[in-house]
Amino acid sequence: MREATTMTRRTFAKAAGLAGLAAAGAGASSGLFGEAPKAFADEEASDEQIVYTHCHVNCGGACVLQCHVKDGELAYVESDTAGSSEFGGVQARACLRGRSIRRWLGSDERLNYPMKRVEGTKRGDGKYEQISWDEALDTIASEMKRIRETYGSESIFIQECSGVEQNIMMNNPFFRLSNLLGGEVTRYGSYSSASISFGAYPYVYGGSWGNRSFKTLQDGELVVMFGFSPNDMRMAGDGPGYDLAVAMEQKGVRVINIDPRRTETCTNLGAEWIPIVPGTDAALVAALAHELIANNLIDTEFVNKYVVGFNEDTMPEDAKGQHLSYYDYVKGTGYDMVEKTPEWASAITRIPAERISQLAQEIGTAKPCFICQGLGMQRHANGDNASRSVMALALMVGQVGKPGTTSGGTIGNGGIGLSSLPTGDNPVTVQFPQYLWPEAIRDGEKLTATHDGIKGADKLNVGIKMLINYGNNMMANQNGDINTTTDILRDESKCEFILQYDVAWTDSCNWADIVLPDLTPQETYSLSAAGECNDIAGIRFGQPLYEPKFERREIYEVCAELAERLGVGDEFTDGGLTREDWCRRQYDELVETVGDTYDMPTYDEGVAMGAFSYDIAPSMDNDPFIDDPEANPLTTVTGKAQIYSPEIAEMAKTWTLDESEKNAITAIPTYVPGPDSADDVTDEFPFQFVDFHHKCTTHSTYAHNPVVQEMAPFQAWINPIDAERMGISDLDTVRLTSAQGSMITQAKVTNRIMPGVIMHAQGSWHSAPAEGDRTDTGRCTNTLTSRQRNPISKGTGQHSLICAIEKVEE
Amino acid sequence: MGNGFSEAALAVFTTLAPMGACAFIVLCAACFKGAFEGVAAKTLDKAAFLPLVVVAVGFIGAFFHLASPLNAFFVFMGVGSSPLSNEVTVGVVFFVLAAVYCILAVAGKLSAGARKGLLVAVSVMAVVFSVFCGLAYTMYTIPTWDTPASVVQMLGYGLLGGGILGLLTLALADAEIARENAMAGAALSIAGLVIGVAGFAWQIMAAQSTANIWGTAADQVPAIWGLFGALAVCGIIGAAVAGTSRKKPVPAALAAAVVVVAVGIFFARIGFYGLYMSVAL
Amino acid sequence: MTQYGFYFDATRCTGCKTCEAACRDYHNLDLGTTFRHVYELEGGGWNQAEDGTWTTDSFTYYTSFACQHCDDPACMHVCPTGAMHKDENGIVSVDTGRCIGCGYCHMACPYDAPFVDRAKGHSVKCDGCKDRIAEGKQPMCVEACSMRALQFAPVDQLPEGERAAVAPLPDPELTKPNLYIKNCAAAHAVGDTSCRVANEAEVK
Repeated sequence: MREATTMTRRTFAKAAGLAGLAAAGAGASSGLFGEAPKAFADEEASDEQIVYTHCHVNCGGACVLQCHVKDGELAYVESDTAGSSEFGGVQARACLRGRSIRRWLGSDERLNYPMKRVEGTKRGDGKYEQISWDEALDTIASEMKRIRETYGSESIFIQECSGVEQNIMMNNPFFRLSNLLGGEVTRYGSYSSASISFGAYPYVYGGSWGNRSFKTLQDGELVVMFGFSPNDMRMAGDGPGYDLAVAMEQKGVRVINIDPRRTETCTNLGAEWIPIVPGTDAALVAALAHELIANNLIDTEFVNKYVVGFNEDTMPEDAKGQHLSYYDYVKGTGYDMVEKTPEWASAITRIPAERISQLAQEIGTAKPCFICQGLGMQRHANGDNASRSVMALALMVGQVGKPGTTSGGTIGNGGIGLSSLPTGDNPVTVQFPQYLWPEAIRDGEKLTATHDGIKGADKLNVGIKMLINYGNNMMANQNGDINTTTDILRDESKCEFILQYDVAWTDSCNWADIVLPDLTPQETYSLSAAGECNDIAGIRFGQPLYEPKFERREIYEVCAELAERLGVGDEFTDGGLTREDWCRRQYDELVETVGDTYDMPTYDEGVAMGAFSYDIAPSMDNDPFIDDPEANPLTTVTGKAQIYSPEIAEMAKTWTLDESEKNAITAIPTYVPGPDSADDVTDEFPFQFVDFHHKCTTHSTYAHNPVVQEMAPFQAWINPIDAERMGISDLDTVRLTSAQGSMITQAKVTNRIMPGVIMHAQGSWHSAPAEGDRTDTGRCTNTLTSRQRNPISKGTGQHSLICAIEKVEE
Repeated sequence: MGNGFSEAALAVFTTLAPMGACAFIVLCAACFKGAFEGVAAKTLDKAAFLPLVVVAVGFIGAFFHLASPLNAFFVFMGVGSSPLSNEVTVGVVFFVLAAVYCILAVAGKLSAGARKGLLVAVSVMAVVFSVFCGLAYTMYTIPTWDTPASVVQMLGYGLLGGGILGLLTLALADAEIARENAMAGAALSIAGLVIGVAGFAWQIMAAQSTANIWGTAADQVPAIWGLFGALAVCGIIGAAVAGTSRKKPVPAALAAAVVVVAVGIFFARIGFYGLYMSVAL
Repeated sequence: MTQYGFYFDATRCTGCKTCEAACRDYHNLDLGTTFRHVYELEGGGWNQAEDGTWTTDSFTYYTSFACQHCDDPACMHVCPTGAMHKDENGIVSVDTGRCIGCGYCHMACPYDAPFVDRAKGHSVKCDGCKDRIAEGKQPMCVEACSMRALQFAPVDQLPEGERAAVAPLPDPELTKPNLYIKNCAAAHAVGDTSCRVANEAEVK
């Protein structure tokens, strides 16, 4: 049975009737939650109007924004006020970011007019002049045509669009347009999860498998999280951080968080924090395995039945007898021939050996035990192995595929899958790993399958000649090593045309040839599923809060005009559909597909309600693979869960690797320090540096909202012991320097970070001259990060980094 | 917490108003010594407007401190409960009394007895007003201010400044009268200096050990002893100039001394506001 | 008289500041000003063993609070005009037509609740969103908290909690605040000097 989470008086009677009718619906959803929806004060009578939209910026949530609009301006924001306000109830309550959106929409940093780089200036000079939309679109259309004709479709690349992720439109209009014209080269993987998705899951489970949300947690069970901070970054009122807190309070769940930083799960919520040297998780897991073996805590029955490669018995036939199992690695009888005792691991992880032994005892005896990881750990250069190692830990104790567990990978979630604007077929099949787009510009056809992870071909045929950035801040902010990246972009003989299309003037705009002003999702029609990471089934409807201001225009209409200029206008709009028409069409199609499972309002009812949500009851079933592994094999080459991956064993022989990647591709998840690890700190760069997702921002979205910056400033977290040694006091201005670059920021001297490590919230906007002293005063951590990549996934390894810190006088 | 300069308007008020008020004590002393019986009486009555103007300037300073001065008449609503209302009320009573005295005196409507009686009343009110200027800050949630030291120092500053300002007032009217009453002015200033310095030192000492989550109050104003020194030095200069007036009062020197003393007190007041520290946040 | 008060379940708070953000937005507060404060306190330290491993006894906890609508409000005591007053729900607010903006309430309040908005010409502070309360709604901060850590109701209807007795808050005996807290394990008592404010830039 469904309940509308929000509705107006106009739709109240009708929707209430619907809810009554729907008692038998929604097999996968739990019952009705919440009290009866309340009607709002009579809108027609007052000058205040409530317009529903939502906040979706790739944090994993999609929170309801109930906007109070007066005289055509946003007066203030409420969030989800329907459903149950009790702890444990479901309301998509927005976090501080969404609640502060009013200031952001009215920010001085917004883009208002199409701009072009002043002739005679170079990219990065930052000199732009206002042009008409006609001139902008004529230029873009002719460049699309010229570059496609000169270099072929493979030379055109449409970058990911984190800033408007999840909704129905995303950057799909560009793909739809490009596919009508011959297609484009595409990327695989993402900045967020490349290593776990392309360096771990496929080789352990054949793909993402067995992930369950925190709602599966059982009374009193143990949760062990590696580098995961759901209460810092996924703060939605229906998100995983909330789910975890509910389980901790209502089910007495105990949580251990292994992380270099005390996350918010370990502040008031009271989870235990085990500080660990960044990038050493695989070493910890090896020692945990050592202790599990020593204390007979390995679930041998499970391992024998479901797992490949734990010990000699479970090795694939062709790999037997060579001491290649994980057991041999741990016992010191294979690989490096070093026994992985707690003492060995404690020297690497800086976790006391007795705590490691005790943790093994706790993990080995807790049934069920929820072992999961976040995405920070896999952004080290050894992230492929680190990610796999935590999955191996869950496999060794048999804690996967069952209620109360996840995969040892990330947590899972369910929901209603909303299809975005159809993009049509792309005839170009070649793909490169997301992280390597700068290299795809610079090195082009030198990128190969076995060195750079090119898929769909042995190599790239041509470098990127046209770069289309929509809804991202990738060029000079959210990509490792900004100085190297922008050096590549500066050379106009490499990438010949760059478009930046966004809502605000980020530093990335300074590297574009044409800059277009977008509407935010709140200023146009929007439709989003309840959340990428939230275990909630629901849809958010969004109406424009006010008429477009200045010359801002939304992407679909703009791409339709480009299509018109390029002779595919009709095909693009499918006979004249508008953005709103597509919202309606995609929603109606969704109702066709899942309307039997969930009772859903019509599109118009949904618009009036703003949103609806169903809680999702956790499945109490085992995964089919657990119930019958013969009948329901995994999609790995062995059909089982693989601690030893024959695929990777093959790669280790056939792939060509850079020096830093040597010995890093191992069929079992060994600990490989990788470059710029804790072992590599020097007098010049005495600290490890890791950036993290903080409450102040999602990636770089909203980072320049001053009200959020006041509440949650971007700071370099440093331990008091280190701070004293370096002569740094709380709130001092400091300079951070790595081999790649230098930035000025503010110190936060805090016990929440372990000694030897500096951590800094990521996402703040880069601000530095393009040449000369490129010291960044915008507190953007990617000024420091490197182009390190993971050996298998070629995903970012930018958390492998060493740096210096010094106080600077203001 | 913190920055005393953000309360500069209040510092101007608490420097000038008690000083102007206490200057009338010197006039009162002079009156009892027969100053108003000679030819200079008329000039003296005109000069008496000087301290009154100083008090008024102080009040104007306080006025600028308010965000809504137009609502100021509501300030009497809190008499009895609000220390600020008490202070303002006492100040207004003083000012009216002093103004009545000045106007009647200039108009020649005061008999010798009435003049004495009025000046005694004005002098008493000047002391009471100075005390209430200090009492205004004794709020129970502000431990650094909630001490007799706040009151003592305020009284001291009033007497210190008032002694010299009173002497200057006399000197502007008649050098001989000023010379005759120099001892009274100097004594008042020296007494005020001792009381004020003692009160301020007492408060600073107490602030060393008064702490909340942000640290000790004294740490907030690293220059606090410097400000104390400024008060002491300025006060000694002022008292010395008052003392030398026993031989030959020089109006310009006394005027300069008034300015020096006012500056010293102002710095002390900045220090006082800087020592503001709430019991908690 | 009814006495409304806040309840803060510290065991649920994650220091996300959504309460503060929602309040700032609804009341359209200028940058640099806030009615609600979220203090981050920390203490303890780190110890390195001979083998180089680290252990810590450090702790961190947040306390979120606005005006406590005290039984015995210091701001009202010192207010010279009576502008600062308690209404029939026990909510302390400013009669803007009477306030002179002298700032004494700001000085006296140990919770840093009222302050003078010079542009508006009077003191401003949390008024418990009394207009919303009158409509049967919750204060904005309460409604915003994604962890459901805040409540606002007549005090006899609030869940059991200690009367605001946690560092960095003052001794509740002083003003008898109507804030009831379910303390988290890391909380330290009023007056504890072993902890320090860890987010000074955010609260001062």
